[in-house]
Amino acid sequence: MKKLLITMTVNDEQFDLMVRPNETLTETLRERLGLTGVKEGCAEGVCGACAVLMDQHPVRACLTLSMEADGTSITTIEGLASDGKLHHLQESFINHGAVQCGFCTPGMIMVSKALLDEKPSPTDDEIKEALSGNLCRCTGYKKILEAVRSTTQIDPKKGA
Amino acid sequence: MRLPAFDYYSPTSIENAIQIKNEFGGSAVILAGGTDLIVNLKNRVIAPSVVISLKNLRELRKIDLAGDSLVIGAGASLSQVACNENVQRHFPILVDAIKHIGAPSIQRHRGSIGGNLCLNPRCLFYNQSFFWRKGKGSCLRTGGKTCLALEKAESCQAICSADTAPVIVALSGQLTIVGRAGSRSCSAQEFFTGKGETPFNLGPDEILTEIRIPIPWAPISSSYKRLSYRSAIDFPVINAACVATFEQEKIFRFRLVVSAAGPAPITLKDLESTFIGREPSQELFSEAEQAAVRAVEGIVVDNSIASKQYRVKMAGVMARRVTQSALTASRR
Amino acid sequence: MANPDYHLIGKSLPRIDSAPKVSGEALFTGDLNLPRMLVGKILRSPYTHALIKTIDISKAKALKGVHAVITGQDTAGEKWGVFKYTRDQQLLCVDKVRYVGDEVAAVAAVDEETADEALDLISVEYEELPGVFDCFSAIAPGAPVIHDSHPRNINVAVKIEVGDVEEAFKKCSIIREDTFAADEDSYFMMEPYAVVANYRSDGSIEIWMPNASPHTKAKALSNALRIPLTKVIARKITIGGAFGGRSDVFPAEFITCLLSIKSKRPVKVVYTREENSIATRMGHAMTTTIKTGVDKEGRVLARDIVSYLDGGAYSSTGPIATSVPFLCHEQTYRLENVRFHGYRIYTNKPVRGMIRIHGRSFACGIDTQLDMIAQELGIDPITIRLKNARRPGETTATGSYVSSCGLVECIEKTAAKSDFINKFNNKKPFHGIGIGINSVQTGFPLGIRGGSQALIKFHEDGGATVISGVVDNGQGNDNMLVQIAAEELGIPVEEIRLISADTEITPTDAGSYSMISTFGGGNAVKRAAADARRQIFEIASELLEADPEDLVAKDKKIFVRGAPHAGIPMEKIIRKSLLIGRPIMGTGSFSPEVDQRREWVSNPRGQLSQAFSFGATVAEVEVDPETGTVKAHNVTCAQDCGFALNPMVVEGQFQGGVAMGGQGGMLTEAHHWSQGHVLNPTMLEYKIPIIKDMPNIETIIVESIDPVGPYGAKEAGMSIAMSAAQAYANAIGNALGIYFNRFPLTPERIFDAIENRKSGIETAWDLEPARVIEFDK
Ligand SMILES: Cc1cc2nc3c(=O)[nH]c(=O)nc-3n(C[C@H](O)[C@H](O)[C@H](O)COP(=O)(O)OP(=O)(O)OC[C@H]3O[C@@H](n4cnc5c(N)ncnc54)[C@H](O)[C@@H]3O)c2cc1C
Ligand code: FES
Ligand code: FES
Repeated sequence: MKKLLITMTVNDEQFDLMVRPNETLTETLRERLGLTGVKEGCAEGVCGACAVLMDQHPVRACLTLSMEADGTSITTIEGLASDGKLHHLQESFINHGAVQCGFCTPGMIMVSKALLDEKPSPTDDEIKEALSGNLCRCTGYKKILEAVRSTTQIDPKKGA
Repeated sequence: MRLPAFDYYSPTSIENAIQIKNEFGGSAVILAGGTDLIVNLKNRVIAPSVVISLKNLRELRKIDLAGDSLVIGAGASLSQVACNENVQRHFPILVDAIKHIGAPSIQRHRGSIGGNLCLNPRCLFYNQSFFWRKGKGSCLRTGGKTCLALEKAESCQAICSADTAPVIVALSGQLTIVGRAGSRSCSAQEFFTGKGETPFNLGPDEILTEIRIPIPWAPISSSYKRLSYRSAIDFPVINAACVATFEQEKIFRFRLVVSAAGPAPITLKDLESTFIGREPSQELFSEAEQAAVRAVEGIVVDNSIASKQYRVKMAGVMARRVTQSALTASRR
Repeated sequence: MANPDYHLIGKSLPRIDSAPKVSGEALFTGDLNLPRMLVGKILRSPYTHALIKTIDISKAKALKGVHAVITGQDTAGEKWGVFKYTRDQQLLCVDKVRYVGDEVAAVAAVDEETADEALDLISVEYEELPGVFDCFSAIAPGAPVIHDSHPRNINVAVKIEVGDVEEAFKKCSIIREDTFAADEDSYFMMEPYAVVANYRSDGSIEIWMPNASPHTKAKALSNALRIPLTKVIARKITIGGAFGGRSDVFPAEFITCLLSIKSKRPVKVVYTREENSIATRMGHAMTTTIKTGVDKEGRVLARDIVSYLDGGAYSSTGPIATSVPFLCHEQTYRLENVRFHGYRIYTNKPVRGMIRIHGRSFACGIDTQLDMIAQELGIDPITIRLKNARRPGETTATGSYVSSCGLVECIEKTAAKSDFINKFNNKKPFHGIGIGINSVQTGFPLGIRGGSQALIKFHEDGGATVISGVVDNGQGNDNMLVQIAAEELGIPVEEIRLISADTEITPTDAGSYSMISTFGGGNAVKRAAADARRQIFEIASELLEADPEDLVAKDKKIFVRGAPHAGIPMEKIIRKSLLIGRPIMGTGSFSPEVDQRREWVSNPRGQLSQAFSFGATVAEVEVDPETGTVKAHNVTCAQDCGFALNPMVVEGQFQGGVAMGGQGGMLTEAHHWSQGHVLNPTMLEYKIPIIKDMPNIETIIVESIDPVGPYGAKEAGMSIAMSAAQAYANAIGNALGIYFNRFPLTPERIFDAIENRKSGIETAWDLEPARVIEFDK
């Protein structure tokens, strides 16, 4: 099992990495790049804690071979803040009490971001549909829904 | 959970892919989106020495009209299929089935239509970790001598759990399969062998390249429904698809497929002739229900979270509901 | 409710721990990475019940990259138990395994692949024994015995009898006996279990793991490892949920320490999701037979209850787990004549602990039966509950005085908001409405006793650091402590740092189980802050030439009441205190007043807990009668949490409770089995709720202002989880006119009950009753 070279852009930074063919994106991001905001809750595609964006789309890092990510652009929770300022989704999760233990939070936010990038003003049903692949055991989801919903009505003058 | 060791190839042409597949035969597996394969690899239910990725095969991702058929490349992602104009126009039932798969963030962009049709049939005694299976002993599909779900079973009873399987069968899809000897065509129904160990009509050197669905000459009525305990992240307990065309107010063509019952989707063949010329009625819907129950009764075994008895009854309910919904919906 | 006297308390402030969590910065145990760290893996029994004949580790030891291999031989058969009399779990099995998942050996290696390979190289020869997998077969004469010390596999037997039950039954106008059962449920906290241990050359060991009590863990490890407690250091780490499932001590902690000691390197063990399910804890399966007698008005005069709890292979919190369902019930309802027999029974299944809706069959049984009785009497569910509900100033059957209690208000408010009576009387087909009520303890002694202590020190810029032993499992304890300190000290939340749950630094705390954190830890911090404020005011009074009594601390300033403009900045006072050699250090401690003589089995009498919380939930559902599937539309829940320190956090607890207790706990969550092997160890087939299926949730905060809780606060969320389960059960029953007695109500079960509908006021299924066990000794 030879290691193979891949090139990935992760959070806007380009990396050339030698990875094992059987390495998952979770392993590469967490263990090689130290991006431990990518959580592993089940390792089998069920929980959504490992969700990252691959070329803007949400994927399960635990179900993705790093080889498949060769040439793509990956965004993790660590890549959302810019200039030391949290992304408005992150702010909104904080302000709405959508975070309890926080283990599901990175995945929730990444999937929400993909939704909002594609559809800036989703309906409640669309938010629920998009987040239906992310499990949270703490919140009962209500405040998560409220947090995402509120960012769809952001008044640009007032800021996040 | 780590993946077992394997070598990885990402061929750039179908010929090249076939070549590799041929070279390694049964010990090479195809990786499309990997949303099923990776889990099975982690659980060591399959242990290939080679993984062949389809990621560089652009030709497998095309969706085109060709003559009187819609041709969907096996590698097309589920979102590509669901968002395709022609699919939406001609086969909304397929869009509906895709919407039920897992959850948008799991499969829509990674999962492929080919991978969905080739979804490894599922069983509560098989889709478990290596550790789990060690305690129970091997089953027929993992090299053992008995089926853990049904003691006397001669072959593996795992469940065809793909959402699109009954739909493609109901739409009379034809699958294109390419191997060393070239390309062949096989009806979707024949593609499913009904044997859990070798669930698909696919040689060790072959891959599924496209799904051809004949465009009906008359508007079709169709319906897909599935029962599950959660409305996402859940395989179907039972699913069913119904496709019909009418002439005047009478049924002209009718096809009802029930799945997630056994290793292959089950087409209720008899109804295809007996329903012709009739008008939709409660009586007809009940006949569909009874026929479905009869058809699955000998097939369903206790290998899912839901019990055998319940699944049998629900096969009837789902069959009745899709029949009623297809036959009373507006036609397209 | 906003109290004008408080400027931070009672407000919905964002939690202090949220920012690191949304940015991905927060580290959970599995995220830790120490230099030279090894990967640890545990070899587990694949069998339900077997003797260990031989273990050969030679090949594993010889594998390149393996630094330590351990078996029971390395542990001297050391056993763990919450109580002295329940020490029955070997930290590594020596002679026998008792469930699939029991720890047999462990390795530490340079990477996961090597560790996996090493596990494969360990050969264990087992002699399989017949197993028992449910309570009734386990207590049958001649059944295989799991622990030789416990004939008939009876692990714990609790008996409580108050009043004259037989006499009281004679006075009843209606008597019913019904049996209720529930399958095992599970925590499925999102973070899988993990442990990091770091043994150091000075003989001390650091350990990180999700836990509900670092001090308890350290103590247990110190005993087992024979390392002085001072040198066993449980460190603070972010924790991804607990729900009762992180309270106990697990062999993995001990094993990881041992691997680190042997290899002289840090070791990390991360559980797979399956291991988290089978080898931490899961909920008990339970059968409860309830005999209730009421008078003509529906007042309960007598009750006789027998419960069997399937405890799995070891004791864990057994005596507590056996008693708590009854105790919650005796807090909720007035009972003068009551008898309870609780048996926790060993089976060859994973070990069971306390879970958020511990004892579903008990609570749902009580409330379902109450609805049946109400139906017989022709009264509605609200009326019968109000007749029997606990009021403040009363004493429970086993002698706990209830000082604050807003149960009646919870019932009335949920009923009013949901328009209960109207919907109950004008039912739409297949739509149903139901109510459940419950109560939980706010802190009870769990093996170790003791309260919480806190320290507060100050920085020269006027900021402060709070030091507390309280652990945060995700519920928001860190924020609670800081919000209290900020209120008391008049320092903004952002300028207070928190050091918590680190046994090297922080003073003792009994742990965050049993809903004690706010009551105990919150009070300790409040007292420490008051102590610091007193010292601050002393200095300020000299500077301001005012009486300390007249001073106010607000906005980082100390001023005479009514004259905020003439205040002294906090930093000035802190510097002054250093200058004059009177540095300020606040200390505070709090120990709840409970009856120390009370013991779970030998003396279940006396004050159990100093406060109790109460809740009521109403659920509105719609059932598809052809498939048995349920759609929950609305849930209205109210809880008397004493006082809501942070309403946003409290609401979040309620909403989470509805998801886990009602939506999951009553509709889908159950483990399925095949001869002791769990068929759904992962959350694909163990169906925890998803966002799409959640009902609309209305939350009502009821505040009874407990006389002892900090600002009157008690506990938030637990009584919602349980009452939500009861409400769902009754709502589904109401939708169909069926009284369900097996939980959870999966579509399959509901469908079965519809198909085999009984006539009259009967439970849906005839279940084998739990009976008093006669000991033939
Ligand atoms: C949590 C979770 C929930 C899920 N829920 C559902 C669900 O509700 N319904 C459902 O149908 N599925 C579900 N799935 C399974 C799976 O994600 C989908 O079926 C998906 O469509 C599979 O597509 P893929 O491209 O990812 O397949 P892959 O995993 O890449 O492949 C699946 C199988 O097909 C073979 N294969 C793929 N392409 C070809 C080809 N062109 N020729 C020959 N063989 C091929 C692979 O070798 C493999 O054995 C779920 C999976 C997860 C992890
Ligand atoms: S860790 Fe990837 S989905 Fe759970
Ligand atoms: S906040 Fe704990 S799992 Fe979502």
